[in-house]
Amino acid sequence: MRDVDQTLEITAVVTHCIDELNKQLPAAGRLTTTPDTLLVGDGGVLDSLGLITLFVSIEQELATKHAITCPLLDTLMSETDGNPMETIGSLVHWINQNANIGT
Amino acid sequence: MSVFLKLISDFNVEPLARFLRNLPGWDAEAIEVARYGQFYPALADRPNETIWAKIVWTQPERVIAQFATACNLEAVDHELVLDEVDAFADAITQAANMQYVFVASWVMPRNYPGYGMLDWRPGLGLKHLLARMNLRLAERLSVHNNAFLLNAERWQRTAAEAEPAKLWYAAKIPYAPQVFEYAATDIAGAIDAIRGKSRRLIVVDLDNTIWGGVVGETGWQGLRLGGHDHIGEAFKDFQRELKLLTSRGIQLAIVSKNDECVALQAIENHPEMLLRKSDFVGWCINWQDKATNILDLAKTLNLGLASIVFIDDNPAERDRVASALPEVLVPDWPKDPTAYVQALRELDCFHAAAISSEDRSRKQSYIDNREREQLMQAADSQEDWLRRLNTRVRVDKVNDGNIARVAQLFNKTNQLNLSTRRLSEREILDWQSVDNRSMIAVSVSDHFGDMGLVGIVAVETDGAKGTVVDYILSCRVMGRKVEETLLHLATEELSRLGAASVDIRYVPTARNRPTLEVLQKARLQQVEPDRFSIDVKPGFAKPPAIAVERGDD
Repeated sequence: MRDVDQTLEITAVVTHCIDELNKQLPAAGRLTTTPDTLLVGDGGVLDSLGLITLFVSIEQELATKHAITCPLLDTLMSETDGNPMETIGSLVHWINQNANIGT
Repeated sequence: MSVFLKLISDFNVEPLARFLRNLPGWDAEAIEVARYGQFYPALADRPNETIWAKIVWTQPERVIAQFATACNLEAVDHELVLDEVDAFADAITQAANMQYVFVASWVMPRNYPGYGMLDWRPGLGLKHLLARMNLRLAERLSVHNNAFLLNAERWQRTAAEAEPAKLWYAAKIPYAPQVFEYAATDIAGAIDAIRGKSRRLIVVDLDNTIWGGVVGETGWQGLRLGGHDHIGEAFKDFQRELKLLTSRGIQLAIVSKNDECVALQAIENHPEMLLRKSDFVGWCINWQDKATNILDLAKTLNLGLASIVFIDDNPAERDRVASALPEVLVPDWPKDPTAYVQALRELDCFHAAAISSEDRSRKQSYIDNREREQLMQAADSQEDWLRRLNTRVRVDKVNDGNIARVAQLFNKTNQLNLSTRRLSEREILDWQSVDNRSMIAVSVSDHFGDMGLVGIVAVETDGAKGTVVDYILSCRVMGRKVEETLLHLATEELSRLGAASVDIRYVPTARNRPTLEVLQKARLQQVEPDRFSIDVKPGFAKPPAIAVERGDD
């Protein structure tokens, strides 16, 4: 039950942060919030500034509102062999797997 | 948005550019970001006519070297810091000779400890020093009417989110996205003000908007307003906030579904009312559709719908007005009256590039207009009414004393504006400095009061051919033969410059159709659909009911 709740919380945070990021993106380049939306790699619409802004805001909101910490940006920067956060769905999954849950 | 903006910063200001590009009506291609860290070179660009304004946003510890030293808690001579501020201000004012420059005031990072409890101590504390730096910058920039210091502390304060340090380390962005979002809205409001697009009239509902309760049910004695009641106090504070805006030239009006007699009784008799009848330039209190009432008010006050903000607690009424009159700004309004003041303060649509005596007296001017209308209804004819008004038109050269108001008229007037040229003070003074050109400023007064400087005529000659380049008149004096008097003055000026004929070319915009109607009604020779002409001899006759006085040049 806790896993389901946490996944919902993480999904809500990611969706909210994408909505906020969309305010900075041109109409044609806005992200949808479906799990298969590409974030990183070929076919992704975000530039590096967009990715940094998104990941930092997700990290911050997870930490301040849900006491969940996870090094999203650090992982993005250090991954050289494929990316575990390629889509919104895989991003939520990755956070779920790697988050340190606060008390 | 067709103006071209350049953003100059010593940090990564790209988020501001992105928020600006996404504002409704803005052209994404018209915003350029200078390479950060290239502050002085970017500011000192060679004159580039395509750049309309530069936005300068810097961090004090990165742009003022002595302040950076002070931030290391080393002893510095604060006067030397201010010398650097002067050099910074000089670079800004130099750029302001070419285009508008909007400068963000300097702020410290949130929770920066500085010298702790000593941080406000003169000669030591960084907060004290930064306050002096901002004051110095404000004073130095105030001498240039193209330079504006914007309150960046408000942007930072309004953002609820803390500054994420990671954004700084990863992308050299010192603030949360929300700060940039507020900054973009504020800057857009300031630009709108210069371009004559600020909102000038707030139309308010009554019940549960400026007082608590429904006056038709409880009578004014039962309303929640002031007193020992937190909701009543909130409504009273909201009225105070609205009244403050009138000192900035913003007018108030009422559109409410109520019995007019009952509502006006409440306004006049409730002891805690801060807004009285005399604070409103007009009202439509009846049971009709509010959108129709707003249209009527706009027509009576000679204001375009794009000048109006409508505030109503009822979402259904807001929705009706927003869909029927899309030009009217209808902000979402909080349910909680204690949030009303904040909601009003967050509307960044009331900026003014200058506040003139005409702005401060505008409410009285509208009230005088109401009395003029009443006099007209009592008069036998329009001529009789005009004669009884005893209208006097005063003509002055454009000079340092009136240039701020002249620039304001150039940039704010939409309806009676022949060519809708938007010019800065410097551009106006430069334009009229040529021998074959003349520009006059027209002030109007009558039996009811002084309307101040309300009109401009600019003419130029090319041999015997004279042209009216600008014909600008505030809507406050429309319909009183001042329009015709301006045509008379234009031909007189051109005659003085040696012209034999007068060419008037109407440049249509979305909002200046009334200008064409004035020209058509004046029975000039219409040589093309948008072009009129007058022979300098005999010229255009002055309306007999208007007296013209020449000021001392």
